[in-house]
This record gives sequence, C-alpha cells and structure tokens, in this order.
Amino acid sequence: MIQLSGVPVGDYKSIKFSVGVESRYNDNLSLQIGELSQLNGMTNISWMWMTSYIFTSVGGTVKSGASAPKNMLVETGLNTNYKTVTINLPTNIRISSVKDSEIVLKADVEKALDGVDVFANPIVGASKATIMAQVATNYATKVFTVASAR
Amino acid sequence: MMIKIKYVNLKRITILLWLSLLIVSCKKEPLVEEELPLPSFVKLAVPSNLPTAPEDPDNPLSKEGIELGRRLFYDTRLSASNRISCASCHHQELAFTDGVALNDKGESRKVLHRHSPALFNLAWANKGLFWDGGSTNLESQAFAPITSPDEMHQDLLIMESELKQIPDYVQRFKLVFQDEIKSKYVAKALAQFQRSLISANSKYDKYIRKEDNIQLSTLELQGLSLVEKKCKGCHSGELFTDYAYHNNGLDSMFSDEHEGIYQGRYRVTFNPLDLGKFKTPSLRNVALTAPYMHDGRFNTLNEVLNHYMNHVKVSVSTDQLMYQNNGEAGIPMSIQEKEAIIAFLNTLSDFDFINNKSISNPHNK
Repeated sequence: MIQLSGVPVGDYKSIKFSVGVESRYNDNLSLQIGELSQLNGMTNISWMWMTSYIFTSVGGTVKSGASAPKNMLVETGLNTNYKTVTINLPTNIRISSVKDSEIVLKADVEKALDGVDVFANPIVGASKATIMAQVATNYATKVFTVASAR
Repeated sequence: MMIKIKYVNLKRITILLWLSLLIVSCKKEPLVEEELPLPSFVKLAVPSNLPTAPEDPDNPLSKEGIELGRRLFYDTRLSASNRISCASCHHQELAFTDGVALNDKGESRKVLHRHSPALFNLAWANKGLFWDGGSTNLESQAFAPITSPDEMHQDLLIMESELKQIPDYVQRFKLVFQDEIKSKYVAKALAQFQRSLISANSKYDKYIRKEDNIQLSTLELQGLSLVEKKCKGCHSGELFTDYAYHNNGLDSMFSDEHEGIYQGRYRVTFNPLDLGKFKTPSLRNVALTAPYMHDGRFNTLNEVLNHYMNHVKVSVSTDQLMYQNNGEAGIPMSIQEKEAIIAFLNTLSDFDFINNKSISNPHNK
C-alpha cells in the first residue's frame, strides 16, 4: 500500500503513474534515490552492462502440451520501455481533509504477456527488443485496472 | 499453454519519488545544525590544444574527491579477496592498460574476453564506456568491474563495511560527499579520479603548443600528415579519437560466443549495422598500450598497420572509412609511409603522464 498525503483538494478523474525508472536515474547508476540501488536486485550484471535498471520482471515456468516445462523470465528495461500509465477512475473521487480516499489497483500479470509466445520465447530481455517492447506496452495499456475507488 | 508465475517485480519510480519526498518532509529537524566543511571544487586544467571538457553537474569535481578516487582506485578492498584493485589491470606506466591481450587477474581466474582499455582523457568520453559502449558514464561503469564475478566480484555491502572500518576513509567521504560511505560515492569518486587523468604532454603536444622549442623530425612530420589523411576519420581531433564506434574490418563473422565479443556494439544496441563495431581508442600513448584492438589480437603497431593495409574484412557493417583503396577495402600505404606513421605515433607518448606521482599509488609509501 502506498500512502500519499498532502494531495491538493479537488475532484480527481484519473490516476497517472509510471512503470520503470526515468532516464535521468536510469542513465546513471550512482544517482540513487528512494529504493533505487544495485543492492536490492533492481539491476544486475547483465542489465548494468547496458546501464539500466530492471523495470519489470515476471518469472516462472511455462508448459505447452506434453513437452517439458521451461523456465520463464520476462524482463523489461532500457529507457525506451519506460511507460507512463493513465487510468480513468470509474467515478470522480473527491480528495479532501474530510475523509481518507482509497484507490485499489489491480495488476493482471497474465496481460503483461499478451501477444507473446512465452513457450517459444521464455527468456525475454534486452536481446529480444521487439518482444520486450510489446511487454512494456502491455504494462502501459492493459495490465493495470482500477478495482475500486472511494 | 499454461503459465505458472513465481514472482513479479514492478518498479514504480514515480510513486517512489513521492514517498521519498514525504519522508524527507516528515523528518524532524535536528536540534543542532551540523556545519560540514565543503570540499574545494575544481575545474579540470585542460591544455590549450584540447577542447573544453564537459562537466557533470551530478558529480562536481573536487580536489578531495579526485584524491579519494585515487585512493580507491589503488585499494584492493574493492575486490572480494582484497587481492586486486583497479590498478591491477590498469598500470600507470602503460597509460593504465595492462600489457597483455586478455588477462586472468580476476577473482574467478577466468581469462576475460576483452582487453583492458587505457584510461586517460575520459572527461571527453561521453558516448559510452567499455569497448561496446554499454556503460553510459564513468559513474555507472564502475559497478560492473567491481561486482562482476570474473573481475573484482565484490559484494557492495561488504565493500562499504570494509571501507567504513578505515577512519581516514570515513573522514574523506564525509568531506567530499557530506555523507557516510556508500557504494554510489565509491563510483562517483572513482569517476572523479578518472576524469582527472588528462594526458596531453607528449612531444607532439609540445611541438603543437610551441613549447620548449620542440621540433618534429622530417619523418615524424611526414607521419603526422599521413595520419591526418588516412587515420583521422576515426582517430579525430586533438584527442585522436571520436569516442564513437566503428567496424574496422577485424572480423566478418559475428557469432554470439564469449559474451558477444565478436558482435561489438550490436551487443548493446541490437542494431545489425552495429555488428563488429568497437569504440575508437585514442592514438595518444599508443606506443605504450600494446597489444591492440578490443581483444588484444595485434602485438605491434606494425601488425596493426598491416591489418589496415591488407586484411580489412568486408561485411555489411565495415566502416566506409576502411575503403581507401580506390573503393576497395583497405588503407594503402608504402613500407616507408608505415615507418613514418609509426615514428609519428611514438611522438604521442606522454612520459610526464606515466611518471606523474600525483596519480600514482598513494598507498606505496
């Protein structure tokens, strides 16, 4: 849960946030802010070789029919895959000092893999630029929905 | 198709930024405001024949920051075994290369895939570090050799705790970065030291700047004019490099073996036109930095020139500048011209730089 305070009073119709690390910080691994750091697995040696944090990471196994399961690791990174998401709220919410407001976001991880044949391409990263871009677009367009807003 | 998800990890930096702002604003003010002395900020002293060096506002150079970086550069605490430092593969007397094609000095003792690059005039290197440019800046670059299992293989938390045990370091970090020791400051200090490594005091420089009445010989002057005609397309300007990426026809097959060593810049951009492209090294100090190329395959300058004369391989990404032989691949030169070029290249050795005590190992007393 993320608590925001000091939000200006008003009626709000949408919520906007970004998936990834903005280029100013993604381009310089010594400008650490918030929890950004190599120390907590937010990047690793192969992503550092491209100077990028790992924006998203989905791992697991994938099976197709009777064939043996494969390890799956679908990651996004690099500045081109930094995405800003805007989601409209079902109804406007009024932010005021009278009561706390709450927005519950749902992330459907399967949607992140929409349009990607993860059995054929179980490992996605910088070397699979086109697929990675597809995954990043999925995060921007279909992974997140508003479950409730009050 | 069935997908079983084990873990998901999303980084939402915008929200993180929000949170960090809130945390700052909620923090109670300390009762006594601590007055910390500031380091002495400096500008690089750039010789008159070099272009102005770009500055990095996120890591302003200070006298104390450069000195801290120098101490860290030569400190074996940066490696897991406390056996190797940056200087283990970057020797000052060789313009900060190591004199071998591929070394096995790292913690894993595996032979590395790439030749240890020279370190000087890095303040101008703003098109990426490493042979393939994978690192955007010196600050980001430092983390790779420090943590790579085949290089220094250091755990950054252990590095921080080892450095914190040295009161002198605690004081120096406090003065330079106004904070306690953190790995990001190690990277910043190393970057400051490396930016301070300016090499422009060779015989050629003194000739160009008309210092000490230094003259070049007829042969050396012929070499200079040949280099301007045949080599400066890539080894451009007074830095003798464009810091850019070119395929100089070393290979025509670009397999993905050995961490993509044959692929060059393609490994970073995944653009087929970048296959086999590597960063142009400077011709400065070139007589001191054998062996040559990203994998150290040529032992002598003569072998390098023979490559350009007769062995440039053609592929889709071979640089247009390699076609100097009436449109055919190769850079023609006579044996006498080769001799002149090598004579000139020797005037680019900066002996003041490799003997400069202020950039040598401060721990050797």
